[in-house]
Amino acid sequence: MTRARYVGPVVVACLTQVPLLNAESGRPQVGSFADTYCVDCHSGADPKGRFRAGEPFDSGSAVDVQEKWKRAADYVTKGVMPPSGARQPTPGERQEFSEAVLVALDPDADSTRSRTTGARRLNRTEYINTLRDLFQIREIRLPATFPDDNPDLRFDTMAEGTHLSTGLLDAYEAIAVDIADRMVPLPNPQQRSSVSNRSSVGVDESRTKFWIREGDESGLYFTGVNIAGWSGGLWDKAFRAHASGTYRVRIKVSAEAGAGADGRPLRLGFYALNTSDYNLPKRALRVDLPKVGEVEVQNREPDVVDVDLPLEQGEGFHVYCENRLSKNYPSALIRTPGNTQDLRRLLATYLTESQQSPEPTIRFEHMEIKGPVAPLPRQLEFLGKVSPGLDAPYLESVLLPLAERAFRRPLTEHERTALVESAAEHGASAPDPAYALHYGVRQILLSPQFLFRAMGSVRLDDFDLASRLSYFLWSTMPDSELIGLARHGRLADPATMDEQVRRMVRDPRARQFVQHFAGQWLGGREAATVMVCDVRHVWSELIRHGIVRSTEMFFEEILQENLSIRNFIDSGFTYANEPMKIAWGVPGSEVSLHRLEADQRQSLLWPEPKRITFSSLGPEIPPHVADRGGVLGLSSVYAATGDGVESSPILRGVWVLENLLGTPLPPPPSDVPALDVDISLATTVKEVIAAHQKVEKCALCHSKIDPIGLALENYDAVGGWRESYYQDESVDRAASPVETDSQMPDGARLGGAQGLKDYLAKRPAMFTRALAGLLLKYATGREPNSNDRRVLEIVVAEEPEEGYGFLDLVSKLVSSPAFARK
Amino acid sequence: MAGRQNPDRRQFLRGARYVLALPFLPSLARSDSHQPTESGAKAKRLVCVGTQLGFYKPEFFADGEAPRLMKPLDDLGLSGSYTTISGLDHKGPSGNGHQLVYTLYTGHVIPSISLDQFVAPTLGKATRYESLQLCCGDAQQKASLSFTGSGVPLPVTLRPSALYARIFGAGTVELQRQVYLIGSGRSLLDGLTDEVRLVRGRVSVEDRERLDEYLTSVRSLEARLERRRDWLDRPFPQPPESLSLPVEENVDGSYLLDNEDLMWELMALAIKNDSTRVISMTIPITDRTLVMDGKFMSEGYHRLSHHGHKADKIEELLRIEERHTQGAARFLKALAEAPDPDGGSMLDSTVVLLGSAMGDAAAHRRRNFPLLVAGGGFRHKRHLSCGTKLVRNTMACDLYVTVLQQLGFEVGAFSTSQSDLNGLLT
Repeated sequence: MTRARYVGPVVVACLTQVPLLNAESGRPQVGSFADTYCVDCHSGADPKGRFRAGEPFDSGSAVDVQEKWKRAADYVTKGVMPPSGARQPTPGERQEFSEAVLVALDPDADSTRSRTTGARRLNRTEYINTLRDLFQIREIRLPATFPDDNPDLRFDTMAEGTHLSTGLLDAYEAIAVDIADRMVPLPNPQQRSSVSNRSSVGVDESRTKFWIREGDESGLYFTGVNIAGWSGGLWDKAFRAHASGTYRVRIKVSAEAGAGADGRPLRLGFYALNTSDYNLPKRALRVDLPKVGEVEVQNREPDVVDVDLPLEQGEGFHVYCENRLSKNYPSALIRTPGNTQDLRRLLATYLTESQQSPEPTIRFEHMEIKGPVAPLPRQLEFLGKVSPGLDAPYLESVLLPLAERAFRRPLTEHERTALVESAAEHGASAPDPAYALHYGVRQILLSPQFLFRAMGSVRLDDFDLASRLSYFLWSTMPDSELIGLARHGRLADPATMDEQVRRMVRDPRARQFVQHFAGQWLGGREAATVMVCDVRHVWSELIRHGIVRSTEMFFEEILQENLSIRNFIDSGFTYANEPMKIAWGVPGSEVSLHRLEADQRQSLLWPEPKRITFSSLGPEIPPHVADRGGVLGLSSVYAATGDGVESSPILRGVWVLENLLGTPLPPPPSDVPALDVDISLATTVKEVIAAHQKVEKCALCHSKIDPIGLALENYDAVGGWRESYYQDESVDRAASPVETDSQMPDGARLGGAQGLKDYLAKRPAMFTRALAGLLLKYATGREPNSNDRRVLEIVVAEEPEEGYGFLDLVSKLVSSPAFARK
Repeated sequence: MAGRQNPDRRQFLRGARYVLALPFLPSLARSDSHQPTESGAKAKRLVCVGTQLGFYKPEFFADGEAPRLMKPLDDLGLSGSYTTISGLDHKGPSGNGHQLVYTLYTGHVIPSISLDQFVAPTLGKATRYESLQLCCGDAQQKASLSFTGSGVPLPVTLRPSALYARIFGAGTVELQRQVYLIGSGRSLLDGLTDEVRLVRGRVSVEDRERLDEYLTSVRSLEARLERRRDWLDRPFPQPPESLSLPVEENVDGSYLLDNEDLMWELMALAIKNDSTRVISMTIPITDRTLVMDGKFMSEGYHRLSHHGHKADKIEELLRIEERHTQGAARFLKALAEAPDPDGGSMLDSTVVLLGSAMGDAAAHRRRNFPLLVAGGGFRHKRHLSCGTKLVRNTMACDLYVTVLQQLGFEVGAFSTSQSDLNGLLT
């Protein structure tokens, strides 16, 4: 529904001033175009599509007449009309015609004024990233119930999708309270305690034998391997910090030796983890967990030791003996991404040995957790030196810097006073300044200035520009350097912008650009959640991981190395992990997917994709593997355009037109029912697809869509390789072979994926325009308007022979006037 | 702007795996101008239950011989209180049925309101909870069957203990803190509203639209805070002594059946003590092997649903599905035995829907949903065959129109309905 308003990035070689129409009638201006290109078919007693191009219309015409004209404008813009074979207008004529139609229908619309992006609500990703940057609260996250963004828009940054709904505001309110609690605990927080001992403590049950010693009925011994999920850690299953704060842990332990492996007294280490995150005891890596406390155990008889742990709300913790480890402890066990077979053997040997000759360790009897007993250091730092009263200078010193960062620009005088006064007024009736601050924090987090970007500005000022840049490349608020530049008015300078783009891309936060721009453009985010449910595909979660990561890595290499954007069309390399290679039909892999999965269950890390350089592939590798270059070789593209069961040549064709050729089509007409085809029962896919071409209305677009989709039929619904279609056992018929032969409307024969890439490679400007358009759309949140299209044409015209370096293209767009326009 | 007034089919084809945070599109709710009349209502509660893996239909529909899955209902003397209905679905696209199971009570893929949420503001006016959303344990995919008008899925309660706490009150309610947060929250929103009104006139048209959305959302949030405040210090009902929760709760998919049993039991209690009058519950898909009566079954639930027409697999699958309908039977029986304060039994005044938008999980078909309607004062007839030959009267939403009218809503349409089933059920 949202795409209907789309006015595609049509080639406008030289956009002249669009003639303004008078409101009386669209005829005189539209007329000459219609007379030349339309009336032959769209007139008379039985006009095609029941549309009469020769009749006058204006904003007062009947609704269905207006709708027909709107559709005509859409079709002409997108090149659907006039049909191929008929005389074609120039791109400039198309543009003029459709704008004239729209103005005639809506005289108030000023075609010389470009559509602007309204204030945009922070999307889900931007919102959580911004909260993390603002508050530096460890592991803060959105609740599982936080509403999703609109998935049907090209990007989740589009202004059209960032409306505010009741559900969202409810969620914002809950999060505002949550954060205020975590920053400014209200006085006298409820204290809770939790007690655990040998019978209640959580150790991996299958490995409990390493924790107990014969003859000792009440103690447990810190032993095993110091990786959560194996047998090294001990934790209180029932405990979860109900509020952020410092928790006192009183633990009854004794040391079996005066010194540990490092010659220093035996020590216990405390590691925080958000228990809801981990499928305990499987996946938590101690090495990745934040250490929140340590205590030496020197007493040889059982005695209580106290330690204070700073914990965030929702966290629990694991306890390890830090220096128990003897010389024979294999360091590989700390973290081994490699061969899991070896890892298992190593572990088994080690555990057997250590059980035969127990190492001196710490004996545990009892643990009590109580809290929160005090605020966190982080909270104290935020509160600063609390003044006894509620004076305005104190509230200002805490709230104003926070508000300024949250609003991403200097505050107006009115905002300053309004914020401080309302907080002070609220606190006046409270016995403690915490109430005023709690209120102030909530107020900042519910303000439109925080929730929306560029709210209220008519033009993007330097601060808005800093935000646009940082949300573009980092999906989060600008850092102090960007704000500093904005303050000095230096962001308008293209050299500064270029410098900043290069700095920002090298920053770890640029991972966000990879995850979210590439993740949406190339389908990685869809692939991460698509429910693949069938025996018909070679599939495992390891493949899913590989699909998502390989697309990111492919994109990241082109970005970071500033490689030519032509690599997106075809490249000499790609990425895949071992399980993916099985789905791709790469011979030489001796191991079955089943085996890889079994190994994975013992491993601590997911199998990362590796770079594949096609020129160094051996002769035994089939050619279709070496044809995996470019984005059309990435499995994520296919996973995202399928539904996990069936592949859809139509969605693939539409995807290529929009994302690689930059010629999106209008949505299917609403008055044509969907062809309800059950592909699994059809004899050939080609037959099914051909059904569309029989209906003239459908054929307009499907003659463009279908040949592209058919060329890609060798890829299954999750990007694996197939030479015949899946055949259900119960159907008594031979599996039909995949046919990829197809012909584009301009007569070019494709004959498979490589043929399609060659077709694209011969039209590099189309791809450059498409990619630049997508980047601009992602950054600005708007469909390209006429100014944007003019910028795109300049960008295309100035492209060097070998294609833009990707980073150069990004920089060029960021410095263009299109980027700086609201 | 072709297609503006209708959902874009291309997006429809893609299959929405998510739901949106969009404002309610009026064109998608043909029934938004209803006027519920209390007097016309024959029932006043609605319970919508859905499985994500469907039911084995040859043993579900009560046409001809007594099907195995209906036996638990018949055994408890409920044979006159339900109707299975075949031939209904949403006429959606084919493809991966799993992606679209959440449309069971919305009728649409695109953002649209679910049946339970449509009635909740009216039916749930006087109860502690306007509505409850449940799921029997951990969900592998999005679990909620309940969607607001803007298509936002409502969060589900996964833990029986959490549902228990909502019905009977948690051990320690931080009452003072809640009172403070709600009170101060409302004054805070008032302040922000004033600020927004000040700047509203000075911003661009686009921004003004955004601010108006903001103000609308603020008003509706204030109303909800007020309701929460109203109920804060009212006492919770006492749990019956017979009710016992397990000492250690496990919501892992393997324990689906145990959790489901508890959910059915707690649901009946929530209705009997009038904590709520609108409930939705999801019986989720899981790849896990289920534990039945303390023992692991032969294969994962999801795998069993792909039975390939093998007798041994169907048998295992039916053992699971029987547990679903046994739970339903106990739930219905409990309502049937409880007198409604307004006369009749609580079952007579409660419409219970049980079904799935997965027509056939073995083949991922989205045709001919298994659907059952019970209670609600309908003229039950064990089984209805719809749409076997007719073009009309084949939409699941036709049933929902009849349900809405039974609940006193004067509507002629809901979502994708084409007609109603009034002549058959009332």
